[in-house]
Amino acid sequence: MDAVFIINQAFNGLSLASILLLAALGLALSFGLMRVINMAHGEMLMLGGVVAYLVQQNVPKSVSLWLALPIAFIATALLGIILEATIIRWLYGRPLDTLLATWGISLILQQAVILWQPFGVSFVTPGWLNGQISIQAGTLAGVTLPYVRIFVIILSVLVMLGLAFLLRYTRMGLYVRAVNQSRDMASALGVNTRFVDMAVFALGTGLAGLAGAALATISPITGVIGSSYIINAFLVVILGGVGSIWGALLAAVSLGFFTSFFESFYSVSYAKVIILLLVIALLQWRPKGFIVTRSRALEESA
Amino acid sequence: MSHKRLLGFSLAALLFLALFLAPSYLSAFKLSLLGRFLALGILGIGVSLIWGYTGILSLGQGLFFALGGYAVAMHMVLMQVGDKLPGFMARSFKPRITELPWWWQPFESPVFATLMVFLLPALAAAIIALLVFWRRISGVYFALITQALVLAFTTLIVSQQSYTNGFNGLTNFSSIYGFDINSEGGRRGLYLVTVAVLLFVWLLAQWLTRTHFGKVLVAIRDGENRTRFLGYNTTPYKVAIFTLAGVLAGISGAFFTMHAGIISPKDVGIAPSIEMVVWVAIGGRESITGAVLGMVLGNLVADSVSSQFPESWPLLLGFLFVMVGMILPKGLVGLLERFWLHKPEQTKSSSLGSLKSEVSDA
Amino acid sequence: MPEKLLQVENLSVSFDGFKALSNVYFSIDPLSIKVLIGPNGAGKSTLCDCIIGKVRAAEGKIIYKAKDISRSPEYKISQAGICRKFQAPGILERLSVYDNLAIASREKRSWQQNLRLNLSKTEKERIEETLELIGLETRRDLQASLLAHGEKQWLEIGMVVSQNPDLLLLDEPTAGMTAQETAKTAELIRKLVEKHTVLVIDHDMTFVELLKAPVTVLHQGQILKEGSMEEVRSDPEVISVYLGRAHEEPMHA
Repeated sequence: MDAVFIINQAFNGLSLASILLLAALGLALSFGLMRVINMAHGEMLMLGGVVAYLVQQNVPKSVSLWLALPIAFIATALLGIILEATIIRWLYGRPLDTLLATWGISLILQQAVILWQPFGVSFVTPGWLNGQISIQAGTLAGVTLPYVRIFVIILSVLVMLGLAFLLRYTRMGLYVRAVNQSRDMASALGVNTRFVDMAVFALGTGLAGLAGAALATISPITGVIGSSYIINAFLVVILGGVGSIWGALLAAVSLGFFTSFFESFYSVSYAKVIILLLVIALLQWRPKGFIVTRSRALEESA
Repeated sequence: MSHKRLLGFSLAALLFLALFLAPSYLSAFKLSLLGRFLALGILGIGVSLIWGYTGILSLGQGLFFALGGYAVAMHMVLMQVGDKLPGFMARSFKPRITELPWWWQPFESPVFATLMVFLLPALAAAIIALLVFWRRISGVYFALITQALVLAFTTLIVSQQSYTNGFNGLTNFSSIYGFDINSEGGRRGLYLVTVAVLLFVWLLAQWLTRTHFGKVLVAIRDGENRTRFLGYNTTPYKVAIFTLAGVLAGISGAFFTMHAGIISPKDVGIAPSIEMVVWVAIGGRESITGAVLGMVLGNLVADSVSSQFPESWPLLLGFLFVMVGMILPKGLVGLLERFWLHKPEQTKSSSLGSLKSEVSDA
Repeated sequence: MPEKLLQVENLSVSFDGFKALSNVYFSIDPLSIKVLIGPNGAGKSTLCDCIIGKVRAAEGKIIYKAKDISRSPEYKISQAGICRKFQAPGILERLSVYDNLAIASREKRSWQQNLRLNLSKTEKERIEETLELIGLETRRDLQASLLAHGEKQWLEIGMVVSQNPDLLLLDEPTAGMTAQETAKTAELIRKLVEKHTVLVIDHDMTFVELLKAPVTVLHQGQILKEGSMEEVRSDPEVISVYLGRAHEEPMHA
């Protein structure tokens, strides 16, 4: 194993981790706060990509990416609000029913997009993202780092920092953390928990949409693309620990690296099996994920 | 309680009578179709036991279903080809297979294959349940882990084309224990055996849910921590029932394979695994009979609608999922109870107040 | 000096840095009642949680029948004879009253031993006795979720008693009860001491006085004072931290 191989695989891992992280952050947020697992989260990702494509069809190409990202975020966040108000909120406290209902939503969205565009849509990557850093000479000759992947990594770092800032320093973040710790208490102190739930769910779907728009720069968007990311995103949430964004970061990076390295040694399918066994093994060690919030409220109830 | 029991029993008695008489009034094709869905009913009973009674949602029953189905299919494929290699192996190139792999060989024995129908799913289910429940991972986490397992398993089958015939699955077989299941008599016989097994499993489940063991399962569903504080080590209970459900799924897979004449990754993957659960939910997960009913009727409807409207069927199916989750958590049986027995509907807490207990159980 | 049934030594528990209990020493004699009082957040419930294995101690020992149980799983502690009635009714809502008691009374706890339809004769008798004790004979087949609030409390006391425990932890057993029901509960608990050791947590002073038992006052995770109700009442420190707050936080008199 030489340095070039390691750097290339590590870069791949990092790039995979950044997409996983973008996909998982929204899940982690809404799961942490409402114990809602949104099986249609992968389709929010897919729709984000579709929105990016639609934006590109209608605006000058030079600005399409910069418009696509925020518009994808807003569009999927709005869809999140609609879903929360019409379906999710009626299922609070019944996580397993939520799981089935949101799977139904995902089926509908998938099929709708498949009927509309059976072969998927492609976002044309702007020219300035089409190059790559490639080292031609020296001990590191052979290292190639495509710009698009660097772009996605930077984007996910920015999103992560933004989210951390939001939760740490804004009033909304304070509310979210309050509800997270004790819903009843927060409610008694005048926090509108209904609003907080909806906002967090919308933020989660919005982030998925943003992830989808970013993904569109790397690969074509088909109706079923969500399902290929969603299960790994779930594993990130499980491994990270309930509702912890730093746990999600840690889990996404480790899953990304492991996947990238295993896939280079074994076939993709073996890598999948190994990763899953690894997750189960890690859960033996930390059943509640990497970052556990041990609070009195969690332990109190019988 | 007794009303509910009476309703369940009379419904079931009628159902089984109609099923045993079916060969006299159904065409061979329809009989085979019905047999296939009755085989799924066996899996449905397992789902009802783990989900309806114990509160464990598994989105991975397809895995155990596949183990049972492939065990039988491997045997039948070998019976069909005699001394030669199965066709897909002979045609394989990456890797090129020249002789039967060691792990295929014992499946030449019908006894071994039959044993594997029980043992493979039992072992897989027990190990998974032990690893996961031992660390008190449950609820949503468990559902997602089982789903990931199914994904990994199907990816593995598809990728090992040379050994498993990949995406195409195992097919082209006709005889088991010397009976030709493609002949008219063989089909009828297979159908009747399926109904008999279903009846046996149904009776077993009826008995099990009435034992003290069954009561403890319900206790675990209502409050696992509470049950622990009452002195029950809940993990072995969950492992036991999950293993039983796994075995039932394996048996179901074996019969399904014989009726359908094929087993392939698309019968056992993520989507079929979750659909199996939904049909049980539609029938009524808290009732053994409801689970069978939902599974059989649901699949019959699905089969005819999806072949006529292949494009809009997924939309309809998705809509069904949403509706079940939102308005029919107890399924059709729950609906019947509500209308016929005027039983007060359980006050389901839709507030987040009850969440805490879910959390500490998770 | 008689052997103590339960002895808590140097017990400390913390939640994310907050010390819920610090260096608590505490013990109960067999077949006696002890009452644990203290303002909200004093650590009463946490102490109970530790004894039954729901919360793990950061340091210290819990010695029960001469064995340290601070690392045992919940079901083993329960099987060893420590049972707790929770603050919120911890009944199994979807089972009938009878089945709730059956789950609690069954002596065999492993799944292999429970693959049977009928309970043993002694178990059946115990269930009947308990039904009579808690006055729910006519409600035996009712789903537990349909009981009235007070009846649920009684059912849970019944479940705890029918496990025939050596040590009974009762966490606010009179919550939500009328004065009359409270008096009856006190009488019942005094009757229980013939066969069981009872630890009661409450802050209903009238009720505590009715029990006529030694009192331990917890405050900010530490034992403040032990003694009879009279002694505790006249202790200036206790008055300042607890009884003195009566005007802010009315005692459920």
